[in-house]
Amino acid sequence: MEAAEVIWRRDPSALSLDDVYSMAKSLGSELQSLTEQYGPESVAGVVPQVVRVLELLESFAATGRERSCPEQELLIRAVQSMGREERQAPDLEQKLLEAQKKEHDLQNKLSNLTEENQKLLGQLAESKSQGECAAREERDLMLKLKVVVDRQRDEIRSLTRENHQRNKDTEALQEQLNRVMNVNEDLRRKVAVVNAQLKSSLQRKTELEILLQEKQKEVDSLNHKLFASQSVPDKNMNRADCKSQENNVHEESKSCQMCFTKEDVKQIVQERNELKTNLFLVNEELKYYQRELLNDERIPTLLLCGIKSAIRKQKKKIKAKMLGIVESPTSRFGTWYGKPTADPGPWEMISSKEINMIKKEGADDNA
Amino acid sequence: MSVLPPVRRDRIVADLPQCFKKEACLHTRDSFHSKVTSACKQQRTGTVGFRISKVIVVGDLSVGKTCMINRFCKDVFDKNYKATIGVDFEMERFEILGVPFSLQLWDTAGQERFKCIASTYYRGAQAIIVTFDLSNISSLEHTKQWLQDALKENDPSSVLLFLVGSKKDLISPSQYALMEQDAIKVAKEMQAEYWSVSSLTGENVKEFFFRVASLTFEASVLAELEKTNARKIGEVVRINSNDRNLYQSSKKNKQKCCQ
Repeated sequence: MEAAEVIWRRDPSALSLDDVYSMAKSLGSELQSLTEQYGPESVAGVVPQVVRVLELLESFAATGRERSCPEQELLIRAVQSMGREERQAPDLEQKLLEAQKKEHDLQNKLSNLTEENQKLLGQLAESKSQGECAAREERDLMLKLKVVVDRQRDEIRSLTRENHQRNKDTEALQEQLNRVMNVNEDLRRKVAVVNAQLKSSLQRKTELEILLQEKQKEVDSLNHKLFASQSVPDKNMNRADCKSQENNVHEESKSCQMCFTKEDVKQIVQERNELKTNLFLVNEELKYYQRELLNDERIPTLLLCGIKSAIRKQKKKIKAKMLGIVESPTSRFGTWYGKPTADPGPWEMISSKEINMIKKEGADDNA
Repeated sequence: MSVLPPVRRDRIVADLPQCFKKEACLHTRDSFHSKVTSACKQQRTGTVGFRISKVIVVGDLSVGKTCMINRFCKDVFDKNYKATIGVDFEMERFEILGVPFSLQLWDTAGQERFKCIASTYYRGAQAIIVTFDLSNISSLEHTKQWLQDALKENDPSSVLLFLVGSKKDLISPSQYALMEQDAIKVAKEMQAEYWSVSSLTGENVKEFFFRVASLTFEASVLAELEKTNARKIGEVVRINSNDRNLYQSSKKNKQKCCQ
């Protein structure tokens, strides 16, 4: 209640809005107590008037603060003049001045602070924006990196796939290579075989050619012989003439007598066989005598002659057998053209009688 | 008492050489016929004489007939081909079961143009060696024709047949196996004994000719024994004919008995 009393005693110039509200409050409470005591009709006429007064007071207090500066100075001067006169409140004036000064300082400080605050706010905003910028950059970077990584991953995948494919291709190629190598080897072997065959056939060809040449020579020589024999009867003829004639005939007949006839070859072969047979028999006989010499057996001359004769006889038989012909004492032509009529058979039995006969013959010869 | 000196030591045969393939051979006995061995022991084959068997070798040109004979008789091999003109022969002397025996190997020309000359030498052969080239199937196919030609001049019932595949060294064992099947089939058809040889390496050449010599010898001795025994057998037959009459009459009697 003391504070309320202070308010009621306050100087009108120092009256603030809060003071007015507290006055209204106390008046309200006073009016409340009156209504409680005497009913609401008792204060009905007073309340709108009081409210009006309080409103006025409120507006006064509100406007009074704005107008206060020049009015305050005037008031201060009036107070100072009054103060000189009355000297009742010097301390208050001084305090007021001090407070005004303080207020001024504080207002200055406030403005400084607000300025600073503004600055700081600006800085904050700046730093904030800067941070945002960095984050965005980072995100951008991340996105870029992600793109790069994705691309690289795809690349790696495609490369692995490609690699796989390549490996498969390589294997297939390797297989093919092996196949080709096998084929190659086969072909080489075949070529070698063919080469060998070619070589041998070439060799055969040269041999045949040589044989042909030899034959040709033989034919030539035979032709020569033929003409020589033809020219023998004409002994009266001049030798030179004969020769020239022979040459002419030779040249003429050369074209028509290039080859042996079948009979010629037969004859040659037969002659060869006969000679070979003789050679064989002579060889064997030689061996026989060699053996006798080596054994150093003394054979009586009688027996030796018998043996010789036997050998002669046997030789004839063996020869006939070997040549498959009938024994014939006639000339070779007889054996050549005479057909082998009797088969001599594989066996030849010479009886003891025959041996005795041979021995006898030998003895006769010796005698 | 022989004109001929003893044979070389490596031409002496004491046991029968064995066949090459049991599927295609003339006979599978592992020793000489008992009649032959006993005849040779008793020297019944003749005291003096020159036993000679004619063997002809036929086959396509350049199958290696001459090479085979040269390998056996001279133990040489000439790589160069030299065509045989008409016909040629080699003598080879053996001693079989102590009996001297000669093989006259007639080497005929395979070339068609010499065939007319060569064929005149086919006559009177005791053995025919039909040769083919193991590396040339067509030469095997021609063997039948060669045999047919050779048999025209000979008695098919008494002549011994041999089918020989040559140049064995030229083919691989697998090729050979195939070829052998065909050859054995052909050999069976012609009732010949099958052999395969290589004149280059000498494989089976000696064995083959020893077999030829032995079988020819055996056949000759058997034929000779039959001939000499024929007269005696004739007498025996005469007696037998009487026996048969008796038997027949007794048979009749028997029949009567039964009735």
